[in-house]
Amino acid sequence: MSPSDSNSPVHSDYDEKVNILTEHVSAASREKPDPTEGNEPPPLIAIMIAGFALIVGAGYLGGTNGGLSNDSFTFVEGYDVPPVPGGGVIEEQKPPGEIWLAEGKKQYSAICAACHQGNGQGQTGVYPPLANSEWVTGGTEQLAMIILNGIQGPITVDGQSYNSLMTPWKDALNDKQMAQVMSYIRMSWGNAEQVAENSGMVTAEMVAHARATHDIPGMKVSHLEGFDKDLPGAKVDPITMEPIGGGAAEGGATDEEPAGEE
Amino acid sequence: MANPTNNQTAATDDALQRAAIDRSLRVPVIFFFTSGLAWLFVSLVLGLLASIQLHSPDLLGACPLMSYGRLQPAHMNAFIYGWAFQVGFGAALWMMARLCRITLPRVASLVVAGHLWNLGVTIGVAGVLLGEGTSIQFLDFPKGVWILMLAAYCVIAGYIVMMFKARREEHVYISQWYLLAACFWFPWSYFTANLLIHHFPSAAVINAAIGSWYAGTLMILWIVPIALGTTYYLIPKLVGRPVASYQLAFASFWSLAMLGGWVGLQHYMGGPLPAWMPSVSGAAMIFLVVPMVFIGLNHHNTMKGHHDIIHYSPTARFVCFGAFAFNAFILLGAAFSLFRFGKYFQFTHGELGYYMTGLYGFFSMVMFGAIYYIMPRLMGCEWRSGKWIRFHFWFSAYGTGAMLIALIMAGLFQGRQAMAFDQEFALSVEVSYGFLVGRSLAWCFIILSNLMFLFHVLLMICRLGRRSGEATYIHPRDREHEMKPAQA
Repeated sequence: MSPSDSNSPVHSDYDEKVNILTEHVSAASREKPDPTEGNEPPPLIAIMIAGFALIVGAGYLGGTNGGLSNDSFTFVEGYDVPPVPGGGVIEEQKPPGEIWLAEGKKQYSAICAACHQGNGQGQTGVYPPLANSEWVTGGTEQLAMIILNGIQGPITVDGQSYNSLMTPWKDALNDKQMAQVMSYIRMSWGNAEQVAENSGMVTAEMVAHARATHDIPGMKVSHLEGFDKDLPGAKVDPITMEPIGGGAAEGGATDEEPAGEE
Repeated sequence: MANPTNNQTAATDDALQRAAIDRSLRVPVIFFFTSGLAWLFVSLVLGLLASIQLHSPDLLGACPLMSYGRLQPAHMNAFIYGWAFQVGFGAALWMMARLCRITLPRVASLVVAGHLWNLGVTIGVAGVLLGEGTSIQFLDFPKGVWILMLAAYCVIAGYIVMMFKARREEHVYISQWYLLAACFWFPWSYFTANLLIHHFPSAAVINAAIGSWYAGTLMILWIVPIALGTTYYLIPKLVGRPVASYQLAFASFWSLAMLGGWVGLQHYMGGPLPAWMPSVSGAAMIFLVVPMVFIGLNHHNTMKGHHDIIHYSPTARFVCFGAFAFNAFILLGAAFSLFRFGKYFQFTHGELGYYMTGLYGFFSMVMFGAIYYIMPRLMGCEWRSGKWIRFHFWFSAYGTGAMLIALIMAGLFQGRQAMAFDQEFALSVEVSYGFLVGRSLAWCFIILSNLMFLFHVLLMICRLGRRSGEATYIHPRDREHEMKPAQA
């Protein structure tokens, strides 16, 4: 290990010429010894904090593990937090019947309420009421005919006689919209108690049938004779909008025959 | 060397041996440090571009290459595989050789493996930028690249393991536990995740779960042990006294080892996974507070009475900053796992804040400290200027602090707004706008600080450092203060 031998580790300094031991330029020669471990006892605070962390972690594990079952997916109840402003809970999906009637109300407010009023009372002596009206709560076929074709000439409604002109709406409303309006006026203002059981809701296919069979320009009350009956088609539940069992379907089928003959 | 006593001879032999070890490692360690730093710079630029995209999407035009969806994964993967892994390789190789007292006879295959690793990262980052990425967090590189990278990894880690096997020092020090463990932990999770996600995919939900497990274990089973091994080596070494408590170190290592494999799935808490999966992961994240406390107290007690080294030693300052950031990293992880708190940060900018605290505030700062320590020993010259180191430290410290605050706040606002189901989703993006601008500014700080560092390292590699027997200090060393306890 002669200092003049340039391959000696003594010369492992920069530019390989300076002796690290004599010149004291190498970081390696002045550094402290490699570290070892001491034997101080663990401080009490370490054990206390660790104990606290273990309690929190174990509580977390116990509260959220879902019984360690592969079929349990609920991490924490209330994951779907309420919207921030107002703090309300997100609205549940409304039943289809409610949506159907709400749509009907929209159409009614836009078109019908101008004359018949928002509360369905009409205007005394000028526009007949829809609330408590036998034309509304009776068979759906005559109601559909009135809305499709309009009506003129004298008409008696709820014991009062009226004589004004209602324009036809067959071009303004499609089958679905008209069915929604009819459902709405039959189910509102106390009319729901007067309609025949399960016939409050009107479906688009019922209206389609009426539209196809009753095109009567300048229709008068006399045209409605014999049509105080329900349109053919499956009756539906007012909440779920699902067709109601076999009985109703049969009733629809028997109604269909005379309608077909028209 | 005239008339040496026995002690002096031993010290001389020690110094000679250390110098010989440093010399044998010069090529591979400098290779890993420089290529790591090059990737760090690439990654920082990509990160700044990605950050700008979030608040000014029109600035860089409509080029798909410059879209956030490509820039952000390219940035994160370049940071992890380009910078964090390579600087980790360099530091681990050097510490292992020092602690095992091994002089590496041949380093050719190590350097070749290093080049292969760089090739893998290059293909991967280019693939992500060209739209071939897999969109799985931290596994974004195109399918197949992982085989090349794992092969290169095995050679590099193999060197570390072989050094340990051939060690001349019988005592196994704490740092060796961590470095050796990381060598085995990472390939386990990397191999498992890649194989199951890319080659034997099952349900998409399970793929997502495996991806989040990998992201968690990458942090806890590679990033954390490599940096902890470094702090355990450098802090006692600088202070010149043993680590305070063997028992605490032992307990913290084994608790980390037991918990590390469980983490990650808390990312999907409340998601369509069996509840026990995120629950077990979240609990593991909370339990990690135990090793965090043990390690922090151990370091604190080791430094007791020597805290003034933070004032003048660049290495001590960076390493201690990193050790503090480790606490922030683990506490954030635990807090984000608590459902009542974490739900506001789930899938928001806050999660990026958590990762950047670990990757930059903790890991990178510790590694900067290691580079400040190792580089003069390998190159035989001292750092050029304490002022430059100070610049690097403060801009990095403020940069990473500002980025953490900006991302956490952005995440909080974004998360709260995203939960308002009755309002437009776009609002959740708009509310974090100001903080995202802040994030870009923080990136500028970090880039500035690392430009300085890169220049400093470049001078060192060209051997243009100071030629002096005294290390370069951030501030002049207060020798009188040091003498007082000795006199008392």
